[in-house]
Amino acid sequence: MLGRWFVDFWKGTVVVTMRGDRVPELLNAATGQGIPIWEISRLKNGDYRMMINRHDIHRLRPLMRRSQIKLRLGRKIGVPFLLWRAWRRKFFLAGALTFLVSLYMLSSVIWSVEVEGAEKRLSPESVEQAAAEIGIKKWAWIGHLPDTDELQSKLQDKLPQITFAGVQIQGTKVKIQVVEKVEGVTPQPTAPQHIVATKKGTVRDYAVHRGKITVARGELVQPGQVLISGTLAEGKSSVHATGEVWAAVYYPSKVVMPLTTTRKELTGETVEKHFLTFWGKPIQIWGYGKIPYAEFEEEAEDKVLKIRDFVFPIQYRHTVYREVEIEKMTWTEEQATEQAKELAKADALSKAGQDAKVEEQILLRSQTKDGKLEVEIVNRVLENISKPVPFTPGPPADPDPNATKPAP
Amino acid sequence: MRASWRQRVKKMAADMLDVPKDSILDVPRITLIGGLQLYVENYRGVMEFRDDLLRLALSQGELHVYGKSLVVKSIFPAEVVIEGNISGIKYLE
Repeated sequence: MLGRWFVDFWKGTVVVTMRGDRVPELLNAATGQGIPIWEISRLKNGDYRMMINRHDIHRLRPLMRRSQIKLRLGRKIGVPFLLWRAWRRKFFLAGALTFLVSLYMLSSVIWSVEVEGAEKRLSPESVEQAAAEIGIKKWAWIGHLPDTDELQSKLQDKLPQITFAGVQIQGTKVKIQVVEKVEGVTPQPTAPQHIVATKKGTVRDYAVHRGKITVARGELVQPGQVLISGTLAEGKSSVHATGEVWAAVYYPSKVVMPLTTTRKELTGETVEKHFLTFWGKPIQIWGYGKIPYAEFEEEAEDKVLKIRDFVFPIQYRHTVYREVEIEKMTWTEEQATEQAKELAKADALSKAGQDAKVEEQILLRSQTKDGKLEVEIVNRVLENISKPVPFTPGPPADPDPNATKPAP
Repeated sequence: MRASWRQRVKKMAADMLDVPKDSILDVPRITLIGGLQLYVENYRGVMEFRDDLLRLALSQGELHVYGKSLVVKSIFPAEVVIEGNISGIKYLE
């Protein structure tokens, strides 16, 4: 029975309604010709309803003509009709198919690579790059990736700084977990070097870790002069000299301070205007009228519609005009001098470096001219003037192979 | 006359051999399953089909099937299957 139903469904079945007096006659004739008819019933209005196969309709036609029967096709069931309906909606179906295919394809590529654990010795970017080299990158087919075990060992080969690499594929996201090798003790550098002065200054203090100090406290040194020598025992051995030498360095600064200054102050009063800009040309759309302030500051903000690289040429501009009051200030000479000293200090420190300290500020000259105070100040700054300079040890006076450490 | 003689011979043979008569005689075999399904084998055609009455032609006579909401479930040259609320059948020689 079910098999029959499947065959009928495959071939296509039609529910037909027949009207006429001689339907039983037709049924007999059709049966005699071997046309299968089933589910024949009588309707309330006297019509006959039955089911026949799709391809038997044309065989019925001559019989119907003979017995003057009108036939109406009703519901159509079966694969041929489904196909026909599908063909009528082919674009809809194509869309559905495209959707499914694209969904499948998009879900089978890598969308993101996430790196965890790369903090100290490795940057996440370098891990990502290494991963990209073995095929883990955006838009790569997940199906083409080898086994995660293989990926992990490959990643470990690529990155010698890690002890473990874990690769996990979670849907369209690849999670890479790395464990960095614990940093060992870095070997002491052994390359021979001197510590030399970077600036001219008076040596104040020093701390030698390795090497031999060649200057005394209070000595004036020139830039490039060796402070801590890496050459020991009259050139027989060389070391990697390290240490710090602190010296007083003088920085002269010349500062010009105006005695009267103006200061702008916002009053809090604002006026707003709204514009639309077409290719940069503003056309006002709201907030007409003159700006009622003598002095004001203007602040314009453009709302830009941007789609990737395309900037929409019509933009909205909101401009705020803030009222300002200009205040005149006059400084006394003393105040101005203080101010100038501060400036000179900042100037000196910017040249000397972060760990420097201004010890003293000596006012050399101070002069008021055209309402401006001209000051010359010398800053005495205590700073670290040491700088390592590598050198190649010359041939030792005594050719003793054990005495000189060859440079690695 | 000749046919009836042949009929008689067949009937006699069926009697003597004790086999179902429909296999030898040209008579219908009617199977009623409850009041729901009726199988009529060896019929000759549909004479009338109504919601409450189905008249089938037989080799000799007619078969009337009474009932409510009668449906011809399937129809073949030698067999017809009727479903519905069958309330009675009448065999007319």
